[in-house]
Amino acid sequence: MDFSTAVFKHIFNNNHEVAVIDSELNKYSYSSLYVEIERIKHGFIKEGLSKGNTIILHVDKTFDTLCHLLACVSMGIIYIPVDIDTPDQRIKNILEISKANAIVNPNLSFNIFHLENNPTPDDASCILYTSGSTGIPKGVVCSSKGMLAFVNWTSNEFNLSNKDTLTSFAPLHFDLSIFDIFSTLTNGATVWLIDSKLSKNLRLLGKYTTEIAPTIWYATPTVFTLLHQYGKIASDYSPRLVLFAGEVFPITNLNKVRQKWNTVYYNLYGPTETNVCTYYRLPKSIELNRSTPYPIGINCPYIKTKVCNSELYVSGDSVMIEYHNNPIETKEKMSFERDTIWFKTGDIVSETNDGYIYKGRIDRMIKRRGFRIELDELEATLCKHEKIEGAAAIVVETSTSNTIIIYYNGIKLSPIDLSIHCNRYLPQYMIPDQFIHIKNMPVSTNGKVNYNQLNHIFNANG
Amino acid sequence: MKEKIKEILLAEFIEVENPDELTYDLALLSSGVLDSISILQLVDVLEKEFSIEFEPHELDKDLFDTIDKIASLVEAKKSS
Repeated sequence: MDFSTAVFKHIFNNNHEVAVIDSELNKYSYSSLYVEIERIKHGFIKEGLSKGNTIILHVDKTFDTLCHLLACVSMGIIYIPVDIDTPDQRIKNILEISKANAIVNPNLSFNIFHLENNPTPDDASCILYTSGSTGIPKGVVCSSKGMLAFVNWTSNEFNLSNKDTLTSFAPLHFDLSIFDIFSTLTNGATVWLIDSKLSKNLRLLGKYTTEIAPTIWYATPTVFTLLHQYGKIASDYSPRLVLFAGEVFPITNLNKVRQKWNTVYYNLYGPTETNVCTYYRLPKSIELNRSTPYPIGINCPYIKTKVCNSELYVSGDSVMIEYHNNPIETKEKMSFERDTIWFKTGDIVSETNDGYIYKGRIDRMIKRRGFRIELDELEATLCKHEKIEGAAAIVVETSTSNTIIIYYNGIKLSPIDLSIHCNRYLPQYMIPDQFIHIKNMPVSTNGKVNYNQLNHIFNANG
Repeated sequence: MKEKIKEILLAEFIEVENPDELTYDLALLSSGVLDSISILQLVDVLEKEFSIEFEPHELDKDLFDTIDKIASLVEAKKSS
């Protein structure tokens, strides 16, 4: 069965079970999903869109958005989800890089730019844009084959059925959404779409959570930590399954969540480029004396891994096809070895009886609240300011999250103006926590910024 | 009230060179000065400080975008 057939199996069945709950708690059946998808497809065809085209979805996470997304999947159109809160400048960048054929705007109107097919790989299903170290976002091209392999595995491993309600908390451009949407629909289950506004009002989300009682949550450790801290969730609710991914779950925070929700927990691991490639099921009982985070675990069945100089390499169905229109980055991150294509994750791991343990990064990519950030991109953005000569970012770990401190030289500016400057180019999660002016940027003997020195300066003043 | 809220913001949430920069109508969220997690913390602080409790649907982040808006929200809550 191919990906599209699997996804539409229940939709074509046209039954009256609930497929979607939106952020206002409206419910939509599989049959209404079918009708709406057909209507949108009709519109796409009338405009001349066809298989192999690319469409940017710059829309919030609503029922209509989901229908647009599924209309794309049904027609073999490659969808590019872009967060509703994305700054205009970043959308322009993505438009330029992707050479997309069309865009669906926040008000659901759409513009066609051209109808020529870009040279996109055959099996591409969607393109997820993520932080790029050069200051320009990188588009991860996901294949239908990979999405199907992942969805099939989740169905078996987690015993998904039409009795399940899954939350869709992560934005659509986050690879977690592949599970939220497609694992739900292929199993005739229900997906609860949490839009941008509701995702930020955790007290309302907590109240709705008690009402909807979703059976499965897949989110970042930060989300679980904050939801329990601010959500005021009723004590008699617990999901049957909690999946976390995107960053390390600090053990004290994890244990706090586990004391509220005493259920089955999995740590899922994998960068966007590979989707989930390893997994670890946590032991049943809470380990209060544990101090180290849990392993990232063992390979998913569709994946092969190897370790090269401590770095984890991944090969298999769910590995991306390429970075969209970016052969240089693609060549740098993928290594071809006879008939195997390896993706170099940049993650340092060690091997144990429980599978892999995550140890850190080989480069300057960091995770903050589950979002990945290239510090080089931050620095490049700050340097776009005409009064700034140089910028260097360091990361300080706090109990809740990574804090980003950015040092800059040039003319001293107010932190408020600097936040506003960054906000023009970057999504909110990338904006540094603190801006510090420095007269001279410390450099090493090789002429590069001396980050160790900056860490010392910060600690000395901290 | 505005003065009090500005004080709270300066003490715990926003760093400035000069307090005058933080004007009452400065868009805090939509300009990137505050993030959505800070708003969660701010709500907790406001509730403690003014002995009020917001209903879940009142915590729309757009209502917290400026000191002006936050002040009128707190005023309304206090008098209700």
